[in-house]
Amino acid sequence: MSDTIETLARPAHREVTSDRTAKRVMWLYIGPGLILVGAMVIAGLGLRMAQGGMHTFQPGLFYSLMTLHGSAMMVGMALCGMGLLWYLFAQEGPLNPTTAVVACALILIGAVLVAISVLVGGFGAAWTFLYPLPFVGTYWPSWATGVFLAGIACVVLGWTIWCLQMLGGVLTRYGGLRGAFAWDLVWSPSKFAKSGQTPPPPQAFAVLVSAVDGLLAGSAGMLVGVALFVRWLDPTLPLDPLWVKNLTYIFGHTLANLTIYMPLAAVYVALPRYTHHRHWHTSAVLAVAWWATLVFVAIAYFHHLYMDFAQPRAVQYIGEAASYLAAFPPAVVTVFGGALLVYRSGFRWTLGSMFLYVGMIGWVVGGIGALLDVTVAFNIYFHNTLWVVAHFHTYLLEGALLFVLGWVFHCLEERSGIVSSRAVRTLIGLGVFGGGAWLLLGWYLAGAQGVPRRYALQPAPGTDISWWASLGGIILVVGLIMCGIEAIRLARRPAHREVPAA
Amino acid sequence: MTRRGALQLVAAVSGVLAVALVVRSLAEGAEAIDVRSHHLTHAVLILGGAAAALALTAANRRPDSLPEKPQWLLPAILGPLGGMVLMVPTFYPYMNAHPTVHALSHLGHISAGFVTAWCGERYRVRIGWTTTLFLEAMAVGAAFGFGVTR
Amino acid sequence: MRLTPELTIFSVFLILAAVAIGTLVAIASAAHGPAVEQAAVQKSGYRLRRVWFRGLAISAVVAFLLSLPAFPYRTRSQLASSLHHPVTALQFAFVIPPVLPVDTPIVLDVTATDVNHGVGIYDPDGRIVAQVQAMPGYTNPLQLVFKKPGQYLVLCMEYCGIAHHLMRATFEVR
Repeated sequence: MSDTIETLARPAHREVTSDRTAKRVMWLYIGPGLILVGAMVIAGLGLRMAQGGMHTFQPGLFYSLMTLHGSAMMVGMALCGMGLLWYLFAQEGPLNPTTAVVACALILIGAVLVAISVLVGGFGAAWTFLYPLPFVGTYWPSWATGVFLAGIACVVLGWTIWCLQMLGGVLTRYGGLRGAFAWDLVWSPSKFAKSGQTPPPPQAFAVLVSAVDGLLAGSAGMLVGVALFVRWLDPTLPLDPLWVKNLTYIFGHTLANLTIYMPLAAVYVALPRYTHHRHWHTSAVLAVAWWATLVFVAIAYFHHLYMDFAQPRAVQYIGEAASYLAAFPPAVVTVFGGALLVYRSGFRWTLGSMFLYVGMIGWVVGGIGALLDVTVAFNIYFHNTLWVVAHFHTYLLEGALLFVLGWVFHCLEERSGIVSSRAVRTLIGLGVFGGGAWLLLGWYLAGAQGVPRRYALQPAPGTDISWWASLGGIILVVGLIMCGIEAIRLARRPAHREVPAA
Repeated sequence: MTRRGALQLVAAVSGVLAVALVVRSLAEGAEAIDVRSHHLTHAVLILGGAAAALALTAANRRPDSLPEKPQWLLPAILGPLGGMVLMVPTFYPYMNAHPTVHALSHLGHISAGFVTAWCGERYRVRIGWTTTLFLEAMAVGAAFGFGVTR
Repeated sequence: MRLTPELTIFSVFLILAAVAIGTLVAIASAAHGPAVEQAAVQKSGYRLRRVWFRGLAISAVVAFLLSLPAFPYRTRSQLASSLHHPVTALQFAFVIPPVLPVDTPIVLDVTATDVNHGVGIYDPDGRIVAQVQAMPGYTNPLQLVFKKPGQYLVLCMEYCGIAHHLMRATFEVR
């Protein structure tokens, strides 16, 4: 890299996107993201209640709604994480809002196409659309498959644009990969300290890893999307099902996994603000943890193919090892660091800080469920049972979503200058965490007894457990509705101006 | 030789080599296409085009290339998509029968590589490399299942 | 309810989850109140982190090594000595031999004709004992020994369309 570029990469006065613009972009993503998530929570509860026999869905409707629930939830959660990271990084370096708007628009168009395909066409091949399923023995018209694939293509395009923008931003701001990865901080710390440089803040690592792994997922998604689209136009085209399955999970698993890592940045930024003068700074350990995350998130997807014995044997071992190793950065660095940051810090409990902290608990508990599932010896019992559904709902519903809600309430609290009362916090906590835990426990219990996932009607003891679990789901939804009302209440308060410190 | 000159030379050589590959395939005429190895040939052609673009942008890099230029991003993304469309095996029998069209499609691959890398780099410094890797990953990945079964 | 291996794993999960929740809640309850300097907390915290990291690393290595013998993947020579039975999955049925031998190592050569399916085998007590994916164009060899005689149930373990939940078969082990 030439010297000119290096110097320009670190301008004397840092140019950033204006806070007003950045906030607008953030809400452009998080607003529709949360609406999608909310709608899909309701749809999910409907599915769970149908499994419990509380009402009846025809199998076709059940599987179509299940497809919508999975796809739209991924899109919704991804939008929330994208908006959040965009906003946080815009405070570090300039980002062009037009690029972000184009990316968001493409993703929303994609979501609309997916919705049309499912709600009008009845498409129901699950979000995994595992080849040859979208084309063979379908109960929906062929056009629905085409529209669904076009929708996914728009999502992939939007996602890729976002990843390229964020990667470009990070690389320019911190002087290339070397700076963005804090390479010198790790390998020559004393020289780094003497040079007077500062490493990227923790949230920049979340941006970097999301963008790099996101592009890997994007390329797999675009390849499998093109292949399936061509197969839709030309039914004689042969595709290798195992190849498609690998690509589908590089895309789907990685994207789903990143929806957890993206909102994590909110914890880095917002959690210290509730403490008394504590900071979350970038250490060599934190940098190495994110390097590990970058690698292991990219190769952990192999655990989705444990039960495909035709896979090369080596990757099954790599899959288990990588899945174990992926747990280290959260366990040793992020959650440990978060707990240490909070411990005896004079912490202020508000709705925002409560969500951020409990989100870490949910992430850990879901991680424990995941670690048991990625052990091949146990996966024989758990693969595609409700155990899988249990663990990912734990860290999406009681982890990633709480990080997002934590951030939203943090913003609202900061803007309005008020915090929710203890009674409101307790009520929402009981609903969201209590109802959530109850709902999740049903999946774990049914999964442990071998009840398969994605069944419109479940074998015993699935139905009874689903019935009980649905009650937890209803409580959770009530909690989320209270959350929404409280958010609106805070948002309607006039903006509070902080008195500048003397 | 200056850095700029060396980079221009690299650009020229990659471009010429990629085009030479096309001419060679044209001279060989019609032959049965093995889809897998042919996907890999496309990956090489794409790489040739991309390498030429990257060397050129590196030779002409100006400080003003630092801020984001969103207008270049769409072609940088559509380049890979176009490259993939040219790799659709459905067209292969037709290509097999029409060597000129086949050679033209290979020029298309070189162009897709060039556009992807050039526009990426114009959008923002270092992004040309990223979009190139993005397209290459797809082109190489295609060899293992796109129109190919075990 | 009998304590099967899966329910044992479930209990392990509950215990680990309770420990994790308990620890983090205890830390949370010590969050409020007079603040201590960050540096003071970090000093002992980082010492604890080293112990935690080592403990986790050792546990991960041990777990990995212990799990290796249970990997279900077999080489061609390992499969050669067992009797092979073909199993085919299709929308929405299984073609599977009606009778299979007890206490004998066998191999089920599992494939599919249309879309991806899964073969989940449940013993007479309703416990899942083995599973493998059924993929068109591929044959997945599942080696197993049925320890219990009686009627076994097969359920589909990969979403395959509108009657996925109805796709089942039974066979007798004797």
